Amino acid sequence: MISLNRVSKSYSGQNRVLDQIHLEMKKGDFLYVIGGSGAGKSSLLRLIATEEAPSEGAVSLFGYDLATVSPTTLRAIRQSIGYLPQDVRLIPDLSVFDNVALSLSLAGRRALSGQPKAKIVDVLEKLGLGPKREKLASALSGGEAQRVALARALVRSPELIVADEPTGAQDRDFTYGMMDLILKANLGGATILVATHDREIVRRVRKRCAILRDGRIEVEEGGPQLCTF
Amino acid sequence: MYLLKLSLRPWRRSPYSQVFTSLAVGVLLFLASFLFWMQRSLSPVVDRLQHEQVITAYLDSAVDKAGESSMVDTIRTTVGAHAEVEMVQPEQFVNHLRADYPELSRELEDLGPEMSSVVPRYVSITGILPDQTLETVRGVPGIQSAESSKDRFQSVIGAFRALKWVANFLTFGLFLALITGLIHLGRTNSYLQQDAFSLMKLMGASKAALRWPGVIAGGFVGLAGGALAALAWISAGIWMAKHLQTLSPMLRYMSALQPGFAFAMLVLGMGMGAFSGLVATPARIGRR
Repeated sequence: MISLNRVSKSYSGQNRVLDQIHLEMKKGDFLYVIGGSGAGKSSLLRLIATEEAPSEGAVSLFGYDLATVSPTTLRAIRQSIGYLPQDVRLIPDLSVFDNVALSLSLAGRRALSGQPKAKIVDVLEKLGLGPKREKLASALSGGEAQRVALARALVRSPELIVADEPTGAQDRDFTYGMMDLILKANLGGATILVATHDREIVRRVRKRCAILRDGRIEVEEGGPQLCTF
Repeated sequence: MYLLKLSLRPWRRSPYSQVFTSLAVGVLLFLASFLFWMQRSLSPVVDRLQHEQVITAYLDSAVDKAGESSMVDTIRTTVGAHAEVEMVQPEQFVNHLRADYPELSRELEDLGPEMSSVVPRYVSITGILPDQTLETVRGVPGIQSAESSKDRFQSVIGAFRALKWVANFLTFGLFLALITGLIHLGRTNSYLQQDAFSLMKLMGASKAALRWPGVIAGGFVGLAGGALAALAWISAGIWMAKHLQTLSPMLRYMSALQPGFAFAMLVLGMGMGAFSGLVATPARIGRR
């Protein structure tokens, strides 16, 4: 499903943010990427979300090497990913509903089957955003925007969810609610990759962990580990 | 609906650019269309000047009154019904002169009965006539001499042709300026939309999906400009065309300005705007 082979990343020839990363994930896996600030969590997730290319090494998703994949296949891969970036990146001039609808409309025929509108309303309700669905994204608080970004990722029923600090601006109730939805997607067969530094959610939803330190994965190399930090 | 809202983001983010470009599109489209109409509608005028002639056939002094009318009939049957044939008597000729040359006409009238031997009688034949008409008229018994105005307007025809060429060239230039302005706005809009485009690309949007907002945004600017141009066409355009036709009797043959073309301007504006949006939106934003 996800395979990173000796992947390194550096920006503008500076020090390596990621250094010789090796990571394997199978379909349905759930992995936390944890580490301190500047450890390279977001860079790793950007590579897996196909937003950036590695400086060295190979990233494969769904069995395709991203360096050599055709634009059409890359598009299909992207349609199968629900990505929640750290900076959420909602389109400020669109409403909450339209932001989510845009994501769904670009997710391909599979995600569009059934009743798209009902699907959007349902996911917004589950994230406590029902009353705010006509509100412009620019008028949302940081926590609300983060939940909209999760709704935008989940509504496409993706095969892979890549979430970078998805609960960073939430209170406890919403944090657990969001993690429950991510877990539910995982139980439905989706592969999950969550970058976080929130020990509480890692303790509560105990899953496999990769600890990043100075651009290197320290625990993952020994095989699947349960987070104990 | 979200696609429409997404497409109209530039109107919220940079409203003045959209409004001023729409105004410029309206003015340029109106001017280009007016010039295009002008060069097209000058064609009938040039055709007429090129082919219409006035043949003046002077009568022999031996021809009497009875001979005059049979000669006019002969000429009329020779040149055909579409030509205007008129017998001009010395008195009528002097009357024609009076407006422009009052002194001369007075002197001629003072000649009394002798005027008819000084002032010629002639037959005026006006119309779009075949080239050989002049020779045919010259062959009619009782005609002393005949001359044609055929080449009289050659310099005017040349001037009109030059005017048509300049109008064509300016029309092309205005359309070029129009499309360049629209493409420039399209590129500015695509940069304003870059956040949305890179996000959409990351979500798996196709090239077509990335181009749609630009096409719709450009179409809107073109439509607004086209509406302005259409309004100008049915108000100022009609007045300008009428005024133009009053400037010279030759221009009365220009074809009328069609108010229905206003609709075509709407479609043309929208089409050019959409095309510019299509061309201006970069197909590759960010990585692949």
